[in-house]
Amino acid sequence: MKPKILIVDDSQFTRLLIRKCIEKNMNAEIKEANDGHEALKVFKDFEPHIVFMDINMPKMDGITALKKIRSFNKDAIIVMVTALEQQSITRDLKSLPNVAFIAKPFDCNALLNMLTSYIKRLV
Amino acid sequence: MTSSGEEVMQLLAIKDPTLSTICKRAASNVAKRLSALLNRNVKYTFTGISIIPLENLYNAVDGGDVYVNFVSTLEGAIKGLVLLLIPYGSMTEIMKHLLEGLCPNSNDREIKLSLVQELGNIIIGGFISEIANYMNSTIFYSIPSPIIDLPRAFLDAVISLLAPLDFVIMINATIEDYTSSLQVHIVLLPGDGSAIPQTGESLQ
Repeated sequence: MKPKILIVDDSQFTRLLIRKCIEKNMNAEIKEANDGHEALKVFKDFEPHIVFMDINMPKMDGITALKKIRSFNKDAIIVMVTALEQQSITRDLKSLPNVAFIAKPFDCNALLNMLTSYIKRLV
Repeated sequence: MTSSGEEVMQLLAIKDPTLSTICKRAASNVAKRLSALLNRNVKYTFTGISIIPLENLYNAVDGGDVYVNFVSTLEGAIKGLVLLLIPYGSMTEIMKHLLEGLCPNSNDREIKLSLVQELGNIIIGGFISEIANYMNSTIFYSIPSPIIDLPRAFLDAVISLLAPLDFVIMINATIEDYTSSLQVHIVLLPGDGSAIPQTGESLQ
């Protein structure tokens, strides 16, 4: 199975970093979105297996986008990649199924391990 | 010393240990993040914190050099602005290192701008998250906007947008790796209703 991955981040640099990390190590179909609003549109068309989502973004933040995606796809796998590591924010989200966190800047191996473990569950 | 000056000195005596503890933890958090980003061991040392009169802020940052200055709006438990000032030369060294590893021939202006913004996001995010966790509260910050200019020009522009403010909280830190060392200034400008007071109360 060729995994479909959506990277959502307003930072072009971070999107490139995540894309390079994945492309170096696996054959995946990758699409990108610049903010939460764009992510919703791309998600509906692309139907990704896994979403890497920033929190602090213009137009629509990652938490709102996560909730909106979950409203029409309750099983969506969403990995929050964020510099906003506040327990008061992450506590509630961590209790949701199929939601994980990676701190920015991320370690490529950690990101790949997480990706691989989710892909194994999908196969 | 004016009465408000005396109040601030008292405030410093009460608040300094608490703020210092937060800053040390934040510095460690930022060091970890920068080491991961740069893929090399980075030491990020908190070198001091002070509550200073606004007019002294100009003298507290180096005058003649161009800086990459970031401004971000804070909402939640702390309201106001956070500023991050990094010497331009040091920033370009960090960028060169990062872009060499990622896309060696990149002349893409958008990527460079995005990288600068992300560095600001990581450093400000590290500090703000640590303060929020310490206070067991939530602090949201806007995406930091970078402005390349002399610190004085930058501060003039930012401060002109604010309501009258007597004092600011200034945090100084040093980022060191094998080859270089750079001074970073973080300035908190508390707004109305902020948990970090402009002149009174304790932090918690």
